[in-house]
Amino acid sequence: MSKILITGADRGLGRALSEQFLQNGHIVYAGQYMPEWKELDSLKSHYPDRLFLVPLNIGDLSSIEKAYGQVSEETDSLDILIHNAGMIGTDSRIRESVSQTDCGNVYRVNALGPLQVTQTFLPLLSREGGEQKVAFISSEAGSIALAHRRSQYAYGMSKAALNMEVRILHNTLQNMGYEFYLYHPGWMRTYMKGDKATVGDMEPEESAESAYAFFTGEAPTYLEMVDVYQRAWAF
Amino acid sequence: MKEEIAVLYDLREEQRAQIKEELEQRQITVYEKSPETVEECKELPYIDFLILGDDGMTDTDGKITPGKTDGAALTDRNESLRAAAYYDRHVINAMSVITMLLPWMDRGRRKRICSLTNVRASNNLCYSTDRYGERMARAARNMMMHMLQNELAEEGYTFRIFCDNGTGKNAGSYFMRDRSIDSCPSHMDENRLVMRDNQGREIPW
Repeated sequence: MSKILITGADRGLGRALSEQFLQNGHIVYAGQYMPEWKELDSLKSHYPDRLFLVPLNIGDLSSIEKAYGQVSEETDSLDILIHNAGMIGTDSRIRESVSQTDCGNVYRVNALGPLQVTQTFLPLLSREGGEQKVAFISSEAGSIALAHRRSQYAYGMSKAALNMEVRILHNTLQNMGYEFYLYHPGWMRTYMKGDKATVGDMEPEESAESAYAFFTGEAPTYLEMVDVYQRAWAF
Repeated sequence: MKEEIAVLYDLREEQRAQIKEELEQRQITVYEKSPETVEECKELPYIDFLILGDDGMTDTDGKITPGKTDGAALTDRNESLRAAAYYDRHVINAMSVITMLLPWMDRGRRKRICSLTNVRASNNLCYSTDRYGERMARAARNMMMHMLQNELAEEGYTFRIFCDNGTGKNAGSYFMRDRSIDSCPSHMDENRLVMRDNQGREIPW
């Protein structure tokens, strides 16, 4: 039985991942950004002893530290840290004047948030005998080599930065036994733009199933971004 | 022939003279601008080349050191603050300058946007454990350049990314050199964005 912290677990892929781990008998600390959203409460009623709700805004360092305080009171160790929380920002193109505020906000959540959460929670991941796994939900949108988008600058730039961040974390911590997973979840029908998307290739539950297999499977020997179909993506 | 105009924006001191010299050897009129003076570009009739520098990116090493024995404490909490500042200057400021000057570049003949960076922008060649903020911002700017190409190439815009070794040598000549937009060997294709160093080597993303 592993202990997993998942950020952005309110809905979409985060919630689906939480359920996936719970169904497989693990303990989940679910980062909750939107307490008014009731899906996690519903999940909690099914798994009252193994699901812990943790208020967490990864764009706010004080919230991260508070969450660390709560989780470290509940447990002295974590096995897997899953960075799922993220935002997509606006669709605007360069001639429509991409919002600086939007770019800044998306970067602070998608790129700096995971760095601060990792820094903060690392002590819980470092306990002897733990799995020491750190997983990141990235995106093909962060692949510079394969970049095809003409809008969503804030999102693409933040994911490219996230991939670089994971590279450096990997360089720093791999020789201490940590394992790093970069996952492109595919085009899901989630709430990235606010309302539940009606178009997409799959439901988040399908992607969560693949992510679960990736995160709990054989340890990667080197860093690569793997998608929902287990294909590797260029950086 | 119409005078060609280049704007150098936010270049580091040690690069500026070299790049300016290489451009002026090609009879290009050069204007140097900083974040404080870039608004003055609006007085120009048009802009052919916009060259975005990377000043202010190399002041700290940004190392986050894991604890030796308990794995605790990636210690340097300030790195994320520095990372935000790097991103604001290297990416968001650059993007706002492009947005502001696009109407002037539309009127220019060459329509070329160039970015100065260094090999620390390469994820594939990153073996280091330091400079989170700097490297993340450089990767983000590479993505910005790629997305700009996706969006503006069909309007005749071309793009260059140069990995400098700190001297600016060969950057100017690389930025000026044309490539084919017809079918030709891929490494010479104007439609394919690459990052090269001062030896002409392609640096992987």
